[in-house]
Amino acid sequence: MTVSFPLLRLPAVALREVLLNFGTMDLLEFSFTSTRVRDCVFRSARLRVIEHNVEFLKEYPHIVTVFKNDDGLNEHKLEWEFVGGQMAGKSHQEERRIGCHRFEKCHKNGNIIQCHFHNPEFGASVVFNHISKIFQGPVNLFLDLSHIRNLYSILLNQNISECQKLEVYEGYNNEQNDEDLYGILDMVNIGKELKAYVTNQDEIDFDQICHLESLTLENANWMTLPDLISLNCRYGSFINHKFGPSDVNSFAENWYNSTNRTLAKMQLGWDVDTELDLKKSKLEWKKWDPKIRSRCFYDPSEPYHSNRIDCSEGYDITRSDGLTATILVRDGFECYALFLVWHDPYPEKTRLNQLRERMAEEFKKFENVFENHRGYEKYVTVGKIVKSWIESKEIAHLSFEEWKYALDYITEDTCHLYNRIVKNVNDIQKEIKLWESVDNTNNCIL
Amino acid sequence: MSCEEPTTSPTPENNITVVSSDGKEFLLDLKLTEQSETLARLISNFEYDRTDVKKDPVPLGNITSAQMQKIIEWLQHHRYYPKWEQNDIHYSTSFTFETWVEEYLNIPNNEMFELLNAANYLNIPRLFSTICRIMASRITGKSAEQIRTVLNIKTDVKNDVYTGIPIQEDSSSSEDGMSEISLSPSPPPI
Repeated sequence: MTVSFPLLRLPAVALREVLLNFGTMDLLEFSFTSTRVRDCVFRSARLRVIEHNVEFLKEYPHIVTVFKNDDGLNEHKLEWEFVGGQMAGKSHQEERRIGCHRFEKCHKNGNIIQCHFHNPEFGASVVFNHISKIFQGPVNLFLDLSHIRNLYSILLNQNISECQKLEVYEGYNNEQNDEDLYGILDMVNIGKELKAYVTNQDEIDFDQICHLESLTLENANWMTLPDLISLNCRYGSFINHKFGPSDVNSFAENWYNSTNRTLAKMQLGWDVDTELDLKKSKLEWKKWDPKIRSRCFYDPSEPYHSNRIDCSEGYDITRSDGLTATILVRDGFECYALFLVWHDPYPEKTRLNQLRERMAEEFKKFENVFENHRGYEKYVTVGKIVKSWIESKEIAHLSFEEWKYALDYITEDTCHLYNRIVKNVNDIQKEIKLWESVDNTNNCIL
Repeated sequence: MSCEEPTTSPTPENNITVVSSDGKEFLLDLKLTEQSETLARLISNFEYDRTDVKKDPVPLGNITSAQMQKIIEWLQHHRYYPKWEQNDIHYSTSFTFETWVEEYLNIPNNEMFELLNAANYLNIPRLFSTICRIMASRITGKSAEQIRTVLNIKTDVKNDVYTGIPIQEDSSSSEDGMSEISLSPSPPPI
């Protein structure tokens, strides 16, 4: 006699706890069991993800959902990749149904589902509707106009067009696309960030972008000085524009006389060397004084190896509220002017503290994993190495070969876990050394 | 994780009496009740941990005597375990359980369901989390079709009899439709 387990009659907190113990692919498979499960179970469970990346960058769309791991620092991904005819060679093909749509040729490989569908753009729209119903999170939309067959049908999907971040590329084959950024922005509602590498747009509606936190435009030739001044972004970058040195001076003067505390970095690029004569400015630009600010500016939007901008050659102004800005002109291969605002005059100290906290968290993870496996025979070899790292609070690079050898004996899951921690610690150690050298230089000068 | 169990003889002052929904009384050591956040809070509020306070029996209207017996077995086993922390599950990348736990939870699905509800009601996080992980372990690695079989879920998409094309049924049906989900009596081994 069948003894039923009324799973959905569990209290919401218990049902959510069961779901939280599922792997991400298990959750996706569970959501395919029925529309009722998807709509009722997942709606009540409210599973949050870091972000959804919906990519129409190549010939076939790609959907990536990024999850935060239980440890709170690491991420893992669930991917749905549309593919072409190469699916014929895959031996194990399964069918997935979403509503009344049937995806007959799907192949599962770890956390990736590869899928062949006759209309991949429409298929991606259907799949993303499903995924966004089970996992809630912000959407980042990536468009390469040269690869998209029917852009506006994609943008009609509100789950896609309501996005946190939009990146638009025109690819190499830009004769084929008639779409302009104006039309795209008319249909997309962006929350925070726009990056548009589109050369041939004439104009865009300023109201569509003035609220954005981060703005990168390949072509800002339509932009006027009042537009530039009235932007409210934290990070701005304009590669082609009509601004000249006098506009940069006016921009700096406007910042100096304003109370704007949002701006952190504004970058204006030029095709050729542009001489920025600060003597013509009404402001008193001063050379770098180590007592006022550090040598290096911290740019969190860049990866750890390039997140420091050397501003020793820059010129500073300090506003009446104490906020200092630096103007830095780079010439040579890349010609651009940077306007940097020092919200933290000595970022190396803050950054080093952050990194040391993260390092302590990573070692705490090491200790937890080590404690869980203490006494297990097969973890003895790897355990010895980990123990020495925990005691010295540093990963010794000399033992890397030994490390790889030791990992051969342990389970795949634990191996991944250890490797992930080792990678994080390595990156943090490298960045700490870079910032420590900045800190030492500052201390020597002072 | 294993713990030594020193032998202590409970004294009457260290006990409270709980009464199950079917009227059976159980004498519980105060040390055991620390594992249940609900009981621990109740004891703290009524100051039952003081020897000079008269301890009235605590009625547990949602828990039967059979469930209480099972829960006491769990509490006894984990008596000397360190306090449960949510972090404990963060590094459990595989569904591995102690042999004792596997034997303890080798019970019919209806009993498992009741035990999970009881663990939720009494707020015993280690038991609650363990049962949830056991439930998840029965699903992991399975395809949608296999999950339908294991949980006995009726799909709400049918094929058109003439064309073979899927037709979606009304997905806004009542909650009753969802209760069709059931676990098979013999789930795969943990």
